[in-house]
Amino acid sequence: MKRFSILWFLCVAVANADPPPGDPNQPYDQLPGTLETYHIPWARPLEGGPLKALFIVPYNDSREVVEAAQRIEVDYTVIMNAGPGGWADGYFEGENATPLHGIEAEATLERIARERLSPERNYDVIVIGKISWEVIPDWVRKSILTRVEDGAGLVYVSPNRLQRGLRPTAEVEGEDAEFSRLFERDAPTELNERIFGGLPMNALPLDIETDSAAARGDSMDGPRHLVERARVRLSTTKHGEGRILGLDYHDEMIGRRNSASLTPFIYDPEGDHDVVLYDFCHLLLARCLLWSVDRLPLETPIDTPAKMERAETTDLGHTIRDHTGVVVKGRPLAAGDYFIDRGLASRSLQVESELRVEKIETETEWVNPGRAVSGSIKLTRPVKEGESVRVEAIDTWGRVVAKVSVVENRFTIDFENPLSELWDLRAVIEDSRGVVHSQSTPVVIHNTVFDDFLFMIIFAPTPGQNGWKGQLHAKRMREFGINSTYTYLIYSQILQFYQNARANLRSVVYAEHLGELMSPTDHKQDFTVEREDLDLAELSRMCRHIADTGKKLDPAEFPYRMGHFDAEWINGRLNAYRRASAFGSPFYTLTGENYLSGEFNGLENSGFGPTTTKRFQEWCRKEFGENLKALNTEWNTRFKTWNEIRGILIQDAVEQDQLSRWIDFRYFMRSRVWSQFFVDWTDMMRVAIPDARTGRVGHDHHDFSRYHEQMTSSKLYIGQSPLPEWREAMVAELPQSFSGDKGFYLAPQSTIRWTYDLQSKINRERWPWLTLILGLNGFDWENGLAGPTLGGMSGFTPCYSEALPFFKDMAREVQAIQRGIGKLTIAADPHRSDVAILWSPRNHYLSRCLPFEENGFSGTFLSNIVTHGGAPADCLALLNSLRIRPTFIASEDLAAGGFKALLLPYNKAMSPAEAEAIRQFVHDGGLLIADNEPGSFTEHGRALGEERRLADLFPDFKDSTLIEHGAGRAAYLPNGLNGYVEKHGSGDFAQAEPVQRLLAEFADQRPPIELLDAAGKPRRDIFARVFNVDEVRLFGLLRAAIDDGSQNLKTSMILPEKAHVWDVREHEYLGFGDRFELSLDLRPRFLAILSSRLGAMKLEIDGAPSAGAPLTIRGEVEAESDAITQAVHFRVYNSEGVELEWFRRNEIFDRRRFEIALPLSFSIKPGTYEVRAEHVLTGAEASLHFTIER
Amino acid sequence: MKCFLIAMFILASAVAAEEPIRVSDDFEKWEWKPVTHSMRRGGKKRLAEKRELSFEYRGPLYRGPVGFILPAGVIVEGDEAFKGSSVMLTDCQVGLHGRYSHKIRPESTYNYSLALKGHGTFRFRVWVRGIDVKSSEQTWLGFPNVIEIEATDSWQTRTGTFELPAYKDSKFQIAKALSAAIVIDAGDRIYLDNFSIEERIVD
Repeated sequence: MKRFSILWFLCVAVANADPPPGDPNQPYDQLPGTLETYHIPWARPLEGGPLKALFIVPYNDSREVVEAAQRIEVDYTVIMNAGPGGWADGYFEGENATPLHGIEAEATLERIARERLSPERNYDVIVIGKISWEVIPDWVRKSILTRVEDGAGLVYVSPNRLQRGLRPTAEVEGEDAEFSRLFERDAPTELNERIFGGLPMNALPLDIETDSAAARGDSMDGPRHLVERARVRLSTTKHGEGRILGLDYHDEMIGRRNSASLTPFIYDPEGDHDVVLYDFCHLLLARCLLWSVDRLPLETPIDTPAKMERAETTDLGHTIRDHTGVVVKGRPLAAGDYFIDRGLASRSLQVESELRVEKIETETEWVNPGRAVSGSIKLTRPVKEGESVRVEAIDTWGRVVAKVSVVENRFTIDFENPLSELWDLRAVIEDSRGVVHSQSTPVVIHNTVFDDFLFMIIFAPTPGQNGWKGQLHAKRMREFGINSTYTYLIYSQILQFYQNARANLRSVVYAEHLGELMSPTDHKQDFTVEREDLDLAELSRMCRHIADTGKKLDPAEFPYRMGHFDAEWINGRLNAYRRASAFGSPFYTLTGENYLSGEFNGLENSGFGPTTTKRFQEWCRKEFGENLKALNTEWNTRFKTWNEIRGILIQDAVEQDQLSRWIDFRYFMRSRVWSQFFVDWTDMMRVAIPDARTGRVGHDHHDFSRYHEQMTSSKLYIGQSPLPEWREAMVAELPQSFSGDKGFYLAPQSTIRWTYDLQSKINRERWPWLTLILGLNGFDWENGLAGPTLGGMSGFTPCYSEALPFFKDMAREVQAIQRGIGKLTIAADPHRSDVAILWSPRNHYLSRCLPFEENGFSGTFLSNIVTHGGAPADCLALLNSLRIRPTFIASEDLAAGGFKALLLPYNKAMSPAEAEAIRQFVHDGGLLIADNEPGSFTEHGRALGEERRLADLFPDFKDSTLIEHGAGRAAYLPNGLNGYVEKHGSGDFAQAEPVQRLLAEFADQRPPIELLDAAGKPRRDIFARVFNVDEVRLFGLLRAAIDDGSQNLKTSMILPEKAHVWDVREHEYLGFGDRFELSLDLRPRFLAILSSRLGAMKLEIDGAPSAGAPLTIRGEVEAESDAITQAVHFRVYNSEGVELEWFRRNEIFDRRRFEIALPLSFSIKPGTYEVRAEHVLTGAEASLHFTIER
Repeated sequence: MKCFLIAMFILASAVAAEEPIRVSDDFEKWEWKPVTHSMRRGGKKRLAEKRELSFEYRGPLYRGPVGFILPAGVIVEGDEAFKGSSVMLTDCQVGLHGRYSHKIRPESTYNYSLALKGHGTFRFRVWVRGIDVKSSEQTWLGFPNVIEIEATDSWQTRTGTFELPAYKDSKFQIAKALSAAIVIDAGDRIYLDNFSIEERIVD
């Protein structure tokens, strides 16, 4: 073991957590405990004074200590370990991992544990939260037991001997006599009655288990992690002077589900976190703690019956809470479930009524805003005189937003001006004494508008998925700008949509994870074997059938199966899509990190299935114009008929000298099989969700030139390392170009690693603005206390009390963007120049066959599956450096024209038709600029030598040339584009100047807005984008972080004509003119450029405000013309200054006068309210007050 | 990820470390594998310096002997080979990562055998790493050539033993398992076959 320790030391010595322990951005061992959640202070204050307690709990569930302390007065100390199956050894990933790991984790936890278990520290009680006894160090166990011997209590929640591991599911073999003695002796009946007697056990999803022989395996109801009820069993023993109590929920096998180390993990299929039942679980813990120190008071039982008729509750004097935890004052009680609390005990009460709502139904599950929904109710009997029934709608903010009467058990509700995506329609029966009974059903409000800046949680605790943590994580993240969450339609979790809506989060749908890798073993197969079983083209055909006919597949007609993909499975997905279509999503992810078989490793081995082969043959016939001889010449093959044609593995192509065949085959596979598959899947999906936008997460192994109408969207793998807007701009530009800027794009962020974007204040400030300036719709935020780690993985302290500085920094910028500039920018059209870059994905495969060429089609260690890192990326960076934004086009776009300059950064492989189209473009007056020997190969990858294409335009690849051809010119710049990204990164921009001169002189292409340095030279280090919305130009600028930005600040901004300019971030008017002097450091800048000046803003109310009616607010901005596009940010506050978040909105108007309607609810409280408006561009403010009378 | 990979590698070595170490290659089996990103960068640099590549490649693949995770020479067949197929090495360092990684124990003696011809010197070099267990600082203590043989024009078989020279350092302890590589200088051209090293068991 010593040898192993040294070897381990060797490894981990160089790897520590980032940020380190003690850093304000490292959440480990930070537990301020100031955030309050719903609770009953059962034992606060505690008679006899607070307990001194030591809690040993996993870091990521340590919030539960604070939850416990809300219920019982306890002076707590915490030792946070990694998880139920590890002491200091938790999960971490990669370099700059945020969790502590290795030696640092061991040393830090050792230091903390020794300090907090030192003899000077006294505790009344020690609590262990589901951590395996086997992983607790021996000295810690001994220290605990010594204290118990001396009289301390020990409460061990779910005592277990799970094996060490991140997600342990098996116990250590063999018996442990000491463990059995300490934690497995059944508690006597009297103790069970004493502890559980004070709880409303009939209302809790807990079954008391008294049989110690009951297995720890799956319950009789099924796998533990899906069990809707937990067993609870007490064990007890005396150890010296102290008491040991085991509070065993028999859920240690699902400790891996996280979020519950002091309470039971119970899977609720509805998913909603029940705050009242959770509170009772803590009451149970509190009672156990007190018993363990002999301070549990004896109680007089609460003497109410378990059931009462409504009429009998008229004189009930107890403090009564309903099932939502609200104290109910009125009597008699409505029929339903209640709790009567006294001291440290509670009892359930079921109130019954012979008059009840049996059912409420609607004719539709969802509705478009502004439309009506009809429905019916069924009562146990007709209402009599003095009784009435109505239906009201409650939105997700808890507001009563509609009320209608019921006529002959039918009703109709108008869904006007909804401010949430769900209304609960509640049928309420009332009599003269109050509410008799009510019941509700949800209706979804179809909302497909995603026009504002998105900040999304992903692979993190989400509402309905992770108990208290899912609910709390979402709530706290929302306070910092989170407005959406990744939603698992892939697992058909339709309920998650409802849970998200109730938490006021938009759903962004993870629909599928399609690809040829269907199990972990697919990553490690023998790639020298042709996979004839994988026939993606056949699946495509099946999808196309549904798309064309609108009908489900007949398995008999389509018997093909690839893994789990078959006709029945696809039909099932259509059902899921139909159900999910009630909700909107900005796009539906169809694939993540999935690929063609072998593609990730560069050893593709699929494409040999029958349908794929047939399609390949058809494609080859078209490619070679029915000329088999030409094919054999290109490929070095001897096929006698087209039917013999098939693909080839790269190993075979190399051995048989048939690389051209491989190039054609793999291009066909990526473009006509893989990308086509997603086109077909999208069209199939649109049978169920007509407006669906589709896309992907992750790498760029697609033919983007196929994605004009489908697969236009994506979560892009961009950022988290330096200079992404220069190095990785292609990742965004390719889909943006080919979709016509119609896609929806998110960038990634994560707390898994201390990435570049998180590492400094300026980087955190830049990141959100970078995503906006790149033309994206937002970014996501991955992870959040979701797994067994020792620290890290969070933007909050683990108790959620405080946001960490790095998260606050980034969230601040998000929230600034969400005050309207984000929405306005997203609504705008991005300016594009008349410059195009020809992107020909055939060249990807040729480039792979030239591994030592000067510059490839793509680069980096993932060059098989990414698009950046090569010559096209250099070309794009160069043009961005000139601030001339190009558009990527494909060869089929050449004929359409519409641009004045065309760049060929990497077009070695070229067809005769392509060459002719390029030649024609020049002849007609276009400017052509090229690098990397265009046309030197056939489109199939055969070297042409002296017979290369376009030799007339590029006579010499050694020197720079400029050739006149017709009305245009062709320029060859050897290494004129290559390597620009690297040079730019070191501050060398000289390479851009020849291109700039050519574009200016021969294509009249210049940046729309010039930026000059102090010497009057154009700046090449500013990433800038112009967005046009009517007459407003938005100008985002980001100086490259190639230095600290403290030098070379002076920048002159030259406009094409005089205009009024505002600094949108500072809300500062910079003046009127065509030349402005700016000081550009690394901070992002966002300017608004308008032809007319905007002045003050004023608001007024139209009409008298009234509960239940929309309130019209009119506004006006001083402007020189009536037609002026502008955006205003609105918020509403009550008289205590608390914002009514549901009214928050950004509105875009095209006139200087505008109008909005605030739908006031029926439940709005009387009082005075303030509406505040802020002009998004100028910062001009206006406000008014309105009063709701009693 | 890098740390985890190293750890797993070490773990594997540690578990396997109970058996005597033996690495043997007859260079009979070769496979085509993708040229990696680092090979592309390194290869471009070499070609720009007018050095030849130390491996054979066609299209996106290079050919290497089975058992080596990185390039390890060029296949030699027919009359030039010793038996079946052999490997030709020039201007390269082979096996440091993978084949001979953590295969040399400082206290052990090793038997070796090989078949060799060519022009230049065959060297088997050990990378001796030291660790200060208190501070976890690491350093290189030396790079001894434990095998060094001049090649001749015709094939010769050689056998012998080697062990690591002693390193006495008060601060740094030698790691328990060291890595080694075949090293061939630029300008040298070495043909190799049946190369094996085997840890000698001491009773």
